Amino acid sequence: MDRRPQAMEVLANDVLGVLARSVPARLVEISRSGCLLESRHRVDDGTVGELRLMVGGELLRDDVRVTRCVLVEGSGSSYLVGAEFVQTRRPGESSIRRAVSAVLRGAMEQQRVSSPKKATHGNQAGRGTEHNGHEVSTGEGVMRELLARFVREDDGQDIIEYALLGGLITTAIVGFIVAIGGDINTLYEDLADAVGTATP
Amino acid sequence: MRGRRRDPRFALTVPWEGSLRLPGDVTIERRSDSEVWVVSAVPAHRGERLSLEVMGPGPPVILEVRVVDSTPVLVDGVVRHGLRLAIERDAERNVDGSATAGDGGAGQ
Repeated sequence: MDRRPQAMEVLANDVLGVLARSVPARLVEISRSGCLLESRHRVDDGTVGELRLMVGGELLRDDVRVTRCVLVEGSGSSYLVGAEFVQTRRPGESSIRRAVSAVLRGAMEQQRVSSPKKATHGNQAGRGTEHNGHEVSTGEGVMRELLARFVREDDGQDIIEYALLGGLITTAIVGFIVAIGGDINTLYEDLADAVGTATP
Repeated sequence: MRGRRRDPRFALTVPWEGSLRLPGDVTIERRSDSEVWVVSAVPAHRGERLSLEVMGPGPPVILEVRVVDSTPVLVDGVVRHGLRLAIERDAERNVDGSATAGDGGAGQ
């Protein structure tokens, strides 16, 4: 380290700055309102930051607020970080929210229907490719294709959870009835005997 | 479980690599040609590389810095952390991406 004396400047107290650390993360799941990240670093709940993703050579970014951070059991120091998008600004060209919304508008279905036409559009440079009556940029078109290629929907997960919950409750009720059934039967028989032998 | 998830989720078969940029406000106390001293609400690891955006009378400047030292300090009865940051001069640039002048452009 250079130990030469240096000119030191003491600044006024009102000089403010923003110190930012960049935590590597991997996007695991995404929705219109939030996403699930995987990271080697713990991030406190409520932390607000900017999520940056490199997708197909294009940088996508959006502001997010961390809603939960849990350690993955048995993984050492791998954390699952749930985050919701913060509506701090209008989604721009490089917005993650915009890319996701494009997919949810039915881009996948449209791509399947008009794939030959789409291939022609994909080779065009610049902006202004027409999709479904909306004027969108080529960048958004690329995003749609990438998202459509990489994602799979998990709508059925909630139904499975409800089915499992219902099964567990039913099993518990049946077990309870079986367990106390004998005792209840004995109780009623004793009661009947007692009533039969009772003297007025 | 109703209402727990507002929107349909999509799982990526191949996770996308990226980063989470976590900003925090700091007060810049002093600086030299190669180092900056700031007071932060959170500590930092020695050797950690961070970016420091400096707001001043001039245009905002982003400095790529490396943490040299992080020590707890008491400021107005509250524990803060004094960070000594080495400026990585090659990465110094304005917020708009243009290069700064040779003085580092910390806004003072």
